[in-house]
Amino acid sequence: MRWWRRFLARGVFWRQFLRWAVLNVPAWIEPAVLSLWAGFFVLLWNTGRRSVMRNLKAIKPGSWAPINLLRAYRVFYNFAWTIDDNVRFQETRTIPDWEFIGIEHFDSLQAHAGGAIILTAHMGSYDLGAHLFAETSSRRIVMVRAPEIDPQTRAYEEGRIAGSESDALRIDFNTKAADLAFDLLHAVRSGELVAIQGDRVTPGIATLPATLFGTPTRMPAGPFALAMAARVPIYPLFVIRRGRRRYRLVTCSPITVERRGRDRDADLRRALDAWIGELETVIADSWYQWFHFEPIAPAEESA
Amino acid sequence: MHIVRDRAEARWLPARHRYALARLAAFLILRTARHEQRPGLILAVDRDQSATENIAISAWIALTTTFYFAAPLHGAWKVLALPLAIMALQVPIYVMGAVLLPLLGRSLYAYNHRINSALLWVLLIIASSYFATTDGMARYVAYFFFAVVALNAGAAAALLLMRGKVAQWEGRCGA
Repeated sequence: MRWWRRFLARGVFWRQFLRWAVLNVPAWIEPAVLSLWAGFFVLLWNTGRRSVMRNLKAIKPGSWAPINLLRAYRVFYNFAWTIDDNVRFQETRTIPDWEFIGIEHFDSLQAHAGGAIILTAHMGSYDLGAHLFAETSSRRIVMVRAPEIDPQTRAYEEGRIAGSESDALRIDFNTKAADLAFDLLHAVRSGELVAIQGDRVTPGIATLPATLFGTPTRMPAGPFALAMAARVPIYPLFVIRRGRRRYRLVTCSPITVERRGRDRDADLRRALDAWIGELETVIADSWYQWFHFEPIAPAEESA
Repeated sequence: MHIVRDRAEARWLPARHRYALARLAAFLILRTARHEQRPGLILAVDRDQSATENIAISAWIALTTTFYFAAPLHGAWKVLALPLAIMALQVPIYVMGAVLLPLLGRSLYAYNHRINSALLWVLLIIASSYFATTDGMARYVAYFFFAVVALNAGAAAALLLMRGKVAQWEGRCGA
């Protein structure tokens, strides 16, 4: 491992620095400090910036590159606040303000007798949302996260997450897809809630072909297969940052994945289409919240 | 952490603001605010919760420091004043939180908000005292800085006199 890797965009140094900054930067100077650091990352992290700009081009067809550069800054600025709020919660248990949209669906999720799947996206603070859910609900929740790419960052994050787990919240990393699938099936069948991010695929997990904003891509098949196997509903749920220390929890109507015939893929496809419909609506409305730092289209498709 | 549920007017709780001027303004608004039931709303009661207060102070201090940095710069170099100011505002925090305090035996990950905040205000008062005595535009910025500091002191005195009433209204609002 080369020493300088820790200073790359996904390197562990920035996680440690963020933790230090949350504990040291007074709240009244934070907006100015974060605006500068967001600009720093937009300028220096080429891969992330280009991916966000490409995705913005798909979300907003016909948009201009210079305008999308400014939009990319807004995405980075929101991301900076989101990870800042997340670390602040971990360090000081300071929570932001919350408002609920689709509270009837959220109440139905809370009241649902058996297990259920919460399908979410890389928007707002999904970590903070899961913690809030665990603290305001009597239900046990299992959150599945994509592992960090950098090994040092992964070790650092796993160590920090281990400290923030509670009886109500367990966090799993989808590193071993097969093992995790059995664990999640067991969890959801025993009445627990499983929260999965359904907008990005990581290497080694099962995928389904899909089209997002007219761009061919692949989406995780796991949540839909799990819902079908366990016969539980999927609740699309999005955490959207609305301003400084202010978040909105959007819960959509549940998606059911039923086995209607011999063609299993067609049944999964129906559920996936419903999910993509919700995802596109929320992203189109809150594009500045979608922290998807890889292009929508995988390399082989975009080539 | 204390939270208030379902009451929209609780966003004006003085306890959700840090500085006396903002707390006094919040209290005056709270007194005239109507009770508004909003199911599902969760408001955290934390001194640093107010976005308006923190963004306003941040912008004000960034602009004040920008004027101070622009004062000795000439012509087009003045455009550098804003990024320089925001960078310079962070330097004392890094020096204090990452160097001096750990050297004095405090953990690197200790909670140093109060110390760093006090340090920044002291440095701003020193800088403003200097620029208030100069001839350029920056002296008006320094005067404004001291005017806000004086107003805040006045608001703190007013709040001290009204502390019973403030607590009563906060209690009524669920804080």
